[in-house]
Amino acid sequence: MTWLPRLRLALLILAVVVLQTTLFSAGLRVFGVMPDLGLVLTVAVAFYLGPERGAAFGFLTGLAVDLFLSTPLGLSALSFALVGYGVGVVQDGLVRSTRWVAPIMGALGGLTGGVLFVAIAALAGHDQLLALSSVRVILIATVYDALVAFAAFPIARWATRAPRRADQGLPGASLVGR
Amino acid sequence: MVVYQPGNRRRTILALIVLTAVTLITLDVRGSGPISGLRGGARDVVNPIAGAFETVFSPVGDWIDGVTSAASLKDENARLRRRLDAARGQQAAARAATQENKDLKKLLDLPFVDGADAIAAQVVEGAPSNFEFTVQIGKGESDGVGVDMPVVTGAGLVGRVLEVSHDRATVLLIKDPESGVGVRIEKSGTPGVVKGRGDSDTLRVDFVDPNADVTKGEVVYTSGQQNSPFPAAVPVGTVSKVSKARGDLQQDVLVKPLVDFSHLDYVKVLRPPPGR
Repeated sequence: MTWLPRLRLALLILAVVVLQTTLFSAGLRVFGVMPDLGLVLTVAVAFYLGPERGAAFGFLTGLAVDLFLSTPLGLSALSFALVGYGVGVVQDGLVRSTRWVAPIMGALGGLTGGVLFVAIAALAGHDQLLALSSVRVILIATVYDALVAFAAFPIARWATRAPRRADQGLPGASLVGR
Repeated sequence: MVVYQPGNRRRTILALIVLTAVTLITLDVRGSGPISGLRGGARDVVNPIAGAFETVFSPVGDWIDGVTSAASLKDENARLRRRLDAARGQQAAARAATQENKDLKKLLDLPFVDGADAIAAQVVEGAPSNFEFTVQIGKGESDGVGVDMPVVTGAGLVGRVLEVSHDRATVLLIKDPESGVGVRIEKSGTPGVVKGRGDSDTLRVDFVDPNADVTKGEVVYTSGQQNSPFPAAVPVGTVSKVSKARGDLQQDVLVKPLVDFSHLDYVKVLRPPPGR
């Protein structure tokens, strides 16, 4: 990867931290729940760049988010990295002829990331997260993540400069030749 | 000859990432000093950017918030007007009781929160995660704010300072499940520990004597026991539900907090008295 995509990805991480700690923490919540911006972007980046780079981006994004949380440092980093790796491994076998792949991946990534976060937090001693309220939060966040994915995937494609998959109906892709 | 497969590289990278993350988690759980310094430094770097962003985009957030909550705001306005009228009527009676209370406290030499040295601060951000119940205030180390200092409003206890950076601090709200506050129940003086229940609108009081007489509506105050970060006699909430099953070792007591956490704008951070 050249330096320009790396710079864009670094700016994306900074944008995630700023948005998560300002716009989404103060408002733009649905039933008191905000989306996992970093997680959705990790899913999108892993979708375009594969498992290694997806895991690395997830790790760095999660680490940046962890610096602003009271949960142990590395918790979001680990859950985002595992989701990024999983999406990167799975993405090769996906049928991409639907425009719904972005929200479906965003939702599945959000759901998996939320469950992983709670499970790893419990292992690290924060077992107060093992509650029914966490199930409610994860489910609402999953739906919100699916909506955010409509914007996250084109942004990740721009940042990673992946070739446009015009024949695969992804959000923002132009239908050249039709 | 060893053939290097792409899958090996993937697994190696994943293993390294997992190992690094687990190491960081372990260090943080054990209270590694550099990590809290790292958090403070990160906040000091990002806060100016976040502040500028918020200045530009907060009207957008406010507009969206206003559109989505217009109906509930109207209802709340009417409800608050009714409460204001009732409060005015009670104010005159409360004045006499306050004077009597002040005189009695002088005799008993109890700590009195109104006289405490306090730092007023504005709440500038909410929690950055769905799984924690914290707020950011716009005062930090440079203003004299320290870790574990209690935070209050005119209504009652908000929480305590969890982390501090140069000009911001994170406050752990009493509704967070990680929070625990030593309290006494008004009439009987029964001790207990108030624990947060996350996004529920009530708190739970643990370790209440099953034989104690606790009734709905009683005020719950901080007990201010030794080594507690909270001074005594700070109102926490009112008892909203009491239940007791035969043979239980404690009563189930729920408390409705006096502070409205959904509308937290300004708070006071209480400095500890000299010698504490």
